[in-house]
Amino acid sequence: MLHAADAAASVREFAHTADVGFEVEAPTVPALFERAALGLAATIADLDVVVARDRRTVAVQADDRTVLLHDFLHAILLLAQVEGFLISAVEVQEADETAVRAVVLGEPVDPGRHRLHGEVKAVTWHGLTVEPTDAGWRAWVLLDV
Amino acid sequence: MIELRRTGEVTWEISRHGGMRVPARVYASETQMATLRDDPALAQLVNVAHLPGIVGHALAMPDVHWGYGFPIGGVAAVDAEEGVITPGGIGFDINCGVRLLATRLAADDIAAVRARLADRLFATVPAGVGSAGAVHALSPRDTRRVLERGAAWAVEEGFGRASDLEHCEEEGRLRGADPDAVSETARTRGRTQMGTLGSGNHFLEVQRVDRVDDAAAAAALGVEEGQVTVMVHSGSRGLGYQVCDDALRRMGPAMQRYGIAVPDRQLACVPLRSAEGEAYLGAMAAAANFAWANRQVMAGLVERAFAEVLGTGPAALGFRLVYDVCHNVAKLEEHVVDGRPRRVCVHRKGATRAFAPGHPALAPALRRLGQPVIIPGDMGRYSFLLLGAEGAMAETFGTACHGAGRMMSRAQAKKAGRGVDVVAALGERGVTIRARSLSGVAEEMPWAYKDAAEVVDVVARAGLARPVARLVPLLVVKG
Repeated sequence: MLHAADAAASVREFAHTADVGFEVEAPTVPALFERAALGLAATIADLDVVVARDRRTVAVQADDRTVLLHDFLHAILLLAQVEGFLISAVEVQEADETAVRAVVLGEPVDPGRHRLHGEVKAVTWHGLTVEPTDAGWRAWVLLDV
Repeated sequence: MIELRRTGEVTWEISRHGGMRVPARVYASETQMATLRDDPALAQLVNVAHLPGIVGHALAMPDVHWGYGFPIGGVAAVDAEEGVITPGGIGFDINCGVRLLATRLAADDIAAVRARLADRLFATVPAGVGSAGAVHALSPRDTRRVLERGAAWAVEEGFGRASDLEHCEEEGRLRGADPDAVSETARTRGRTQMGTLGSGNHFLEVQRVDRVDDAAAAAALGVEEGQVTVMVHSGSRGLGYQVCDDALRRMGPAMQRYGIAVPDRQLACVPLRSAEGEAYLGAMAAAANFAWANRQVMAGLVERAFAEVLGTGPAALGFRLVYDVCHNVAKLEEHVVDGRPRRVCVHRKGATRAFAPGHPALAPALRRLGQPVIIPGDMGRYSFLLLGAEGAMAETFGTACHGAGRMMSRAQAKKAGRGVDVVAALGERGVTIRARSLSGVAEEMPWAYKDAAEVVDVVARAGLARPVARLVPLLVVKG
């Protein structure tokens, strides 16, 4: 299980004029998806005060890894926007080229305690990348805010 | 580096090369071009010129900046029969737009209650993330009516008045909406968001008209120096974002079937005349209608807040809609291309329709004036009201810019604001602000934006629209 505090160092925000994006690297695909999920979660809210006490399952299927990452992050975005559920820890339990299944931990939004950042509208397809590197895997994600 | 050739005082051209189907044209002053040259927005404009069926030029307005897929400030017209529709040319926030309300109040009338009015507006119009709407959650039946009827639904629910409708682009209701093409997830995302502002660059602003450039036009629009106006910038909220997301997800694989390749996945597109294309157009129109209803509801809430704080009624307040524009949308229109009239689908991504006087699509009350074009600037300086002009019909498929245009990334803007008390900094400029997130305010501070006056100047020099009035902010409400 990857917790927010341990993921922060591996997620690098890059400059984009209108929107917000991040680049993430990891030794394996499951770790890449875990770090990307927490990169998104950190754009939605300050994760220091999001307690990992409730559990949800996120499972998606797609034709390739890039689409898979989009759909995985979109599912996490919907958890926040539709269910009002913020995540601060994630464990990818199964991952191959066309399917990912993860357990996420977090809690319902508490406006009195949580500090939400601006609304994330979407995970865009612009430049969306999942690719192998010498050291493992890399992803590039641009969010519409 | 992309090669640009200067073709006029404020126009620059990128010749066709590679897979571009048409050349691209950029509207910018020499000063603006100095910083724009290296901006990824130009590469995005080149990508837009690859779209199947595109006609004329791929266009960039002077507020152009790096977006996703299309640049923000990008315009593309495609042939209505042979062209494609791309949700990336409209954006996630379908029918993000601006409305300008005039009042019978002078700035002095609200001077004594300014703080209280700011508090009341902040409380009345839910702004930020996770805030529920001021109206009850929409029932499935309500949702259907919103998607079909747009602003008219909100008027029927008691927000604003019927006369507002002819002061909205498309009378606040895009024809061809297909509620059944809007997914259940999209409906769920929009259910509790009717009458909410959202965050990011969305805002509600109480302003003072501080300069009139065209007295006759201003009088015809009911705008005069010293008057209090209200501007609302928002869109279709989660419902629209999901409509775009659903369409892009479906169009990715569908492109292969139609033999279409584009240089950026965000530009996924399908023929307008295809099952997927028609489904998206129906869903997009429905989402656009949600946005019009949303802005109409917020306008009604603003009027209520003014009435409560000033202890007066509608007659004394005199709220009236000057105009409501959408700046993220695609529309089927007729334009003259290469000397002959042609039916095209105009994608405007961060660009405003700016039809010239006499255009039949304008409501009778506005036809002799041209379409009002509302250009919000940054929250510390000014915004502008213009009218569409002939140059837009001749050169830009009836289009002008949509705002000042960002200059700094959000991280840069926050860094620039480190150690600055943003509330006090705005106070020094005479602006009272209420916001849920101060870091959000820092990202939207004036230094993050180009000077809207320069953008408007280019639009005017190009003959795309003519300035009518300048508006300065008094109160700003942000998510």
